[in-house]
Amino acid sequence: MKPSKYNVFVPWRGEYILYNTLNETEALIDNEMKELLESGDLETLTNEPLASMKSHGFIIEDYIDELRILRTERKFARCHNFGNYLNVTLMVTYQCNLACPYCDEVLAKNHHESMNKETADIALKFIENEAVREHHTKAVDLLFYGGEPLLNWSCCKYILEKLEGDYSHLQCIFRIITNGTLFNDPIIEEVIKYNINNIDITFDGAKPDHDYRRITHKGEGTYDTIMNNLISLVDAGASCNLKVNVDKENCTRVEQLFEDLIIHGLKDINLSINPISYPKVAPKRGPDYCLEEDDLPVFIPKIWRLAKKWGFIVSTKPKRGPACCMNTHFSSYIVDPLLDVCKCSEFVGIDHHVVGKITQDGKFVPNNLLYYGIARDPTYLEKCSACNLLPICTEAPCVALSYGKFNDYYETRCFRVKYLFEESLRWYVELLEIINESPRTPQEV
Amino acid sequence: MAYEPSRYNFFVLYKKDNYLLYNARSNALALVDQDMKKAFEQNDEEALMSLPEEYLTVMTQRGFLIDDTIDEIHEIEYRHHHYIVNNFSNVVELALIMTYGCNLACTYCYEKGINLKKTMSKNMLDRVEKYIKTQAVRNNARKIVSVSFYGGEPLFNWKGCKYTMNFLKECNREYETPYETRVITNGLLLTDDVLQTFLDNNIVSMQITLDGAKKDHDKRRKTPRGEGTYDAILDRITTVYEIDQNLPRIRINIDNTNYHGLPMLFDDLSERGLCNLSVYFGIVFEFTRGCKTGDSSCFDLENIEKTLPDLWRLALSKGYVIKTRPSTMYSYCGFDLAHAFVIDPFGDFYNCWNAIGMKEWCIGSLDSTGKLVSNHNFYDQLSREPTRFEECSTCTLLPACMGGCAFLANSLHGTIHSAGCGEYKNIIGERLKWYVEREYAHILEEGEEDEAVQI
Repeated sequence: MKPSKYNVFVPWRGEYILYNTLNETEALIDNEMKELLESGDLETLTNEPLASMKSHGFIIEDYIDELRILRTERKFARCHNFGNYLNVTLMVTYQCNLACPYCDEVLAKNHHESMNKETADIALKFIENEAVREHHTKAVDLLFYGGEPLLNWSCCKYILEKLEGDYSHLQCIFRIITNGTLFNDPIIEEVIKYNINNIDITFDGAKPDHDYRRITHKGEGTYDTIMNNLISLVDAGASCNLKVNVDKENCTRVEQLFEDLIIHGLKDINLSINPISYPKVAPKRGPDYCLEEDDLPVFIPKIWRLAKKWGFIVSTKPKRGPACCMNTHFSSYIVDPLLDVCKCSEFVGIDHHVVGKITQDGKFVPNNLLYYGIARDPTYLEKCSACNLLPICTEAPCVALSYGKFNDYYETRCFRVKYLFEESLRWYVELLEIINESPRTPQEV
Repeated sequence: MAYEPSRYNFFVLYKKDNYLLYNARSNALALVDQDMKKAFEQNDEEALMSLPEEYLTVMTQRGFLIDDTIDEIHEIEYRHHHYIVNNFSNVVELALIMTYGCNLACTYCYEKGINLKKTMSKNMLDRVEKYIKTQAVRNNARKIVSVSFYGGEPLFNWKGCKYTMNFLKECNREYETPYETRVITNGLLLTDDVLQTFLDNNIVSMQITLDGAKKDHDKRRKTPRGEGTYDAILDRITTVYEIDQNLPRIRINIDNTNYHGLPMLFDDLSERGLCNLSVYFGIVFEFTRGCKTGDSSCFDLENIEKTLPDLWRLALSKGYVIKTRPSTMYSYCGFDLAHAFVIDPFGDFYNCWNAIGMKEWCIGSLDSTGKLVSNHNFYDQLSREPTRFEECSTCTLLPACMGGCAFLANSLHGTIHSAGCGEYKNIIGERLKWYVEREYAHILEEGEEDEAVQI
């Protein structure tokens, strides 16, 4: 018997939370047990705690190689193709009606192209080819993205109509990531009609902060417009996800946003907190408010608590990652208006990250970068293979982050998972206590 | 754009100063002279770039020369994984050990050492059915179900085979999952009724084994009473052949003691009118602990490159073609694949046909709901990555063998996470030469010797 290499200990009120990142199991243990597990000297453990520790995966048989478990699960995660879906992001335009000072895309490139009917038709042929012929599925998860996709809503509509008509044999689910400023009643009606199930909208904190950053080209704030549109969407029955960008500067006032959401009757909105760091790929620019690695545990837990105060529960249980990100997945593609294909949204529009092109007949012609990028397996990266957080590394770890810092896909750069892990776990346990579900101890199981 | 020779160029001396150049990644083959070979091997840019343009174009198109920014190993790894993912979304491939029992008592049987007699029960087949349904219909998919009946002698459990084919048909009706069947049998129990049932259930191949000419075969493949089986098996092969020439696949086991009798076997096959029969050689060597040939009868692998080409020639002289051209592959066998497993009568899953019955190779078991409950072997075996083995990642033949046999690798090196080269590596040159001799000798004799020939 041996302790799992994926046991992590986090101090908690004089004891320790023991968390196993491979099995997503937790327990409260004392210092004695911690030392036992760290030393690997398990002989003194009596039968009962030993059995419990084994059933939770804290202690495993000597012959088990947990890294191979991750490797095989990764293989199957890729086989299952996100539940057998072909995952396509269509960048219907590079243009945007906002001029946010931090926008990665503006910094990274100078594209202004939009999809038209002709390119949309080719993209649709590509989707059908890839889904039916390459991935043996009729199920397509289609995300409209930009720039600001609603700037080219007519093209989105054309694609939606085509998928209902000529391509009705494909079973599609639709999502959109938008800044939320361009919705109006007819568009909302169409969003509901075409069953666009997930609408991702972002606030940059409370009104003063948001209006300082998410501005139109004329410099006007957009907070009220987005809030009104959000209300209309929710009233119409659309399913919206609200991402709240937080950083050093806006975090002290973000509570106002939570209050505002409650005032506007949006208490049930699906809300997530997104720490703003330096851009992953674009040349490093340094607004003072960006969060560095060490800032994360200082600033972010405060936001979780504030959100909770207003009734928004941010779930922070460290969970197993997708085992591979879109960049290393076979069935995910991002197609831009030039019909260039990328694997990661951080890489769109940057020529040297293009992994292939779509020909006029909708065929995907990959280049060497596709092979190079997909072959990146974190279980073979030195730093990752030795890290006890690898199973929960939702960044998998992030190729874009690594590239941004080292100009190399095969380097490792850690961010949220590592630097927020302890606080995430503590907040998860605290939340459990709040809702009267004490964490289980091995003895109790 | 700058070019360099592919790392997967493999040279073998053909005749005089001419070499066959095989590229395992692109699967192309060419004839080159010594100077060209030298230029490739030494990556002599000047010599390569001074080639006539059309020659250079062909060499580039066929993958002997590559754009120097291409990292071929990543492409191979991509193709390997893409193949795994692609097949997983499209096929459920199972070999069912219908029984460990057999109606023969072959002297060398590797399964004998397994010493199990268990037969696939109705209850276990119900679990298999549930497993197949979940796998074939899950997540928006309608996968092809491919079932191979294997044993022991699978037809010894004909009731089980029929039961399986019934539920495959039912599943096809209910969920529109296409299916196909295969059988690996000694042939003795292939009655007309049995044959008709297979024909009604999309049979695509029937693999039947012969152990050489009648005198050799009857000494080895015999009934428990010691009676020979050659004539009875040939009779059944003939019946199958007359229905569909493409159905029977005849494996001819060869070892040190029976290959001398092959002329008689081929003559007999011809006399019986089995002229287009698909045949291949199964080389008998010590492979599993059940193997009883651990003596002088095992094929002499040391001298295989000398012996085998003569046997290929012999087969051709009698009108039978043994296919020897190597080919680019994406996976050596089902071992690395996520959709292909062997299930035995205990409900145990294996990744390898050679490992059946050996619990230490079992990767998990079916529970009563038809779910595979995997164990640590599952994760260990399915994480085998040939492109990451030092020996394979530097081998010019990697794309044509993809790490070779995991079972053999374990025998050779004590771990499946190593190269399982086997006889393949030793005879690839001979295989190429024989292929070219057989298919292109007439062209090469007429052509100019210093001109590369695209094959």
